[in-house]
Amino acid sequence: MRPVIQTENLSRLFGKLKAVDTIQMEVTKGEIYGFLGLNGAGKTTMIRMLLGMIRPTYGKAWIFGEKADPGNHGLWNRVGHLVEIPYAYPSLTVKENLEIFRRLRLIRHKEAVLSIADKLMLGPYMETKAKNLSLGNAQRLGLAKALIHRPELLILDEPANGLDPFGIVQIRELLKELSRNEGTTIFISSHILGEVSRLATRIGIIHLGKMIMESHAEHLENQRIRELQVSTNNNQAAAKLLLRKHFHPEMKEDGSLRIRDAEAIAHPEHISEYLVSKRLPPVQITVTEEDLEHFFFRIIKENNMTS
Amino acid sequence: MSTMRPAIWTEALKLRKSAVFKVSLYFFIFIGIMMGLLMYLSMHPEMASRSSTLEFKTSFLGGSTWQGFFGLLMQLILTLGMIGSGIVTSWMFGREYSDRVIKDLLALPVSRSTIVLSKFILLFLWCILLMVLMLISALLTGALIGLPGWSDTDLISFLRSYAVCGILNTLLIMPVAFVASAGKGYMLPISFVILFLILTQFIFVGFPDLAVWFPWALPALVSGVAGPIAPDPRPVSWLLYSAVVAAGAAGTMLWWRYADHQ
Repeated sequence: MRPVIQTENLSRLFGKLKAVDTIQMEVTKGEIYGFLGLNGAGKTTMIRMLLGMIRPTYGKAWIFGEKADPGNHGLWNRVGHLVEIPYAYPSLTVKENLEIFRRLRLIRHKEAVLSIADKLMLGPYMETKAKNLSLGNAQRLGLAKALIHRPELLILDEPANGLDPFGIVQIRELLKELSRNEGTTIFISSHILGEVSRLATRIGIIHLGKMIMESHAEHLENQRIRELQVSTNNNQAAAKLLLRKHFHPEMKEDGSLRIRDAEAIAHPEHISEYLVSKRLPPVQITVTEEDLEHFFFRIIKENNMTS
Repeated sequence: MSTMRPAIWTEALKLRKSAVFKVSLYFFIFIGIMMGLLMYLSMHPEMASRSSTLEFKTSFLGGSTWQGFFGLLMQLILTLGMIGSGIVTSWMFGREYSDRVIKDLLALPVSRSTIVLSKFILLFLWCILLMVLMLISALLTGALIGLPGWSDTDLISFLRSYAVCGILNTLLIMPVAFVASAGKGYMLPISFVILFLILTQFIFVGFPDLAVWFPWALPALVSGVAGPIAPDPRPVSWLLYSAVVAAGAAGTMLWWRYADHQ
């Protein structure tokens, strides 16, 4: 089966700056692909190239096997998009803004406007002018415009921007539902790994224009650093004892010990028994996992060092 | 062409709901009335004598008759018409950038060229509407104040020139549309319109012989309002004018189609 999104050495230079650098990517049908990167990493440039808004300096991009080119008009009705902060015609109401896109998307059924507004809880704001909407509702209107034609592929650039926690959960559930029930392929960019990892089936990390890591969401778990944290009444003595047992304890800033040996993480009870037998019973012993944001920053840092 | 209808519908909605559209209608009606009132002052110079500025202006009207009034309206459509059509064009294209909604118009089943074409069609109709409103309000005011010297022949000849010059002026929106798209906003195209209006005046005053080579001068050359010092338009004037209009239209379409939209 043909990938929904495919890129080959996709690159874009702005002067000497490589905003997107030889990106190879494939997104298959039904996937939710989380495209992660810090601000300025190249996410929006990449998204604009996928939507035919910016021409690649070199390399190619295909959507549903067709070249991502503005001239492929048939293609764009299979794609919904939201790029950066969504704006709408300020002096038009929510209903009028949606009506514009119903017509420009060549949708015959007038009910499409009401139905998408209901889905995004915009019903009470139908007669409100776009300029008077809160940031969260403006974001919902942006999503409604992207979804009104029930696209097979949804390309979203930071869709959680401006939403409150309730809105974020709501959008996440909506996207999951679209993926599950309608088989919509979703390409979603973000700079928050924690947010994307709850949704995405696959994650790609872009940094300084380059794809530095790609992983299935379930494999992400294995790549995060796990460690055993131990604290006793005399951590220095405990460290010496553990070294004798061929573990590699490190002293943390707060004075407690950190052990990253696989044996220690798999069997913290052995460490506990050993320290008790040496009259240094642990006052605290916990297996911790590197949180997603630290993992994200570590990957970026490691990349900075190697490049 | 099945995508042309929705494109025109959406452009018409955006236009109809905008304050700029309503203000432009009121403004051109107001100007038409004001011109009529200026003629009234010209008929009654004793009222204007208290103000030296008014006296100065009314002395320029070329007689307090319908013929003088038609001449005034021709000058108006050539100057205010050019500024007015330039401003509404700057708004029509520039707003997509200043309202930051341009990106919503770029990946649609309706082609970018269709959107540009629908904008051109509505702009043309809008400019013609403004011209007609100003004309009607001016003629009605002229009739109300009892301007003397009415002649059907003069009216027909004036209407013909007014329509031709108005249309020639309106077609010059094409390069303005290109500047608004490439400049991504209002400021550059409005400055462009003002610059070319000044250049046109400058050429007529300083180098009238060059006017035949300057496309923006063609409407005035055709109208004959510049007086005997201005030459008649030559085939090359029409050729250069057509080239500028065509380049503006093609440039705008190509810009929307091929430029990077960041």
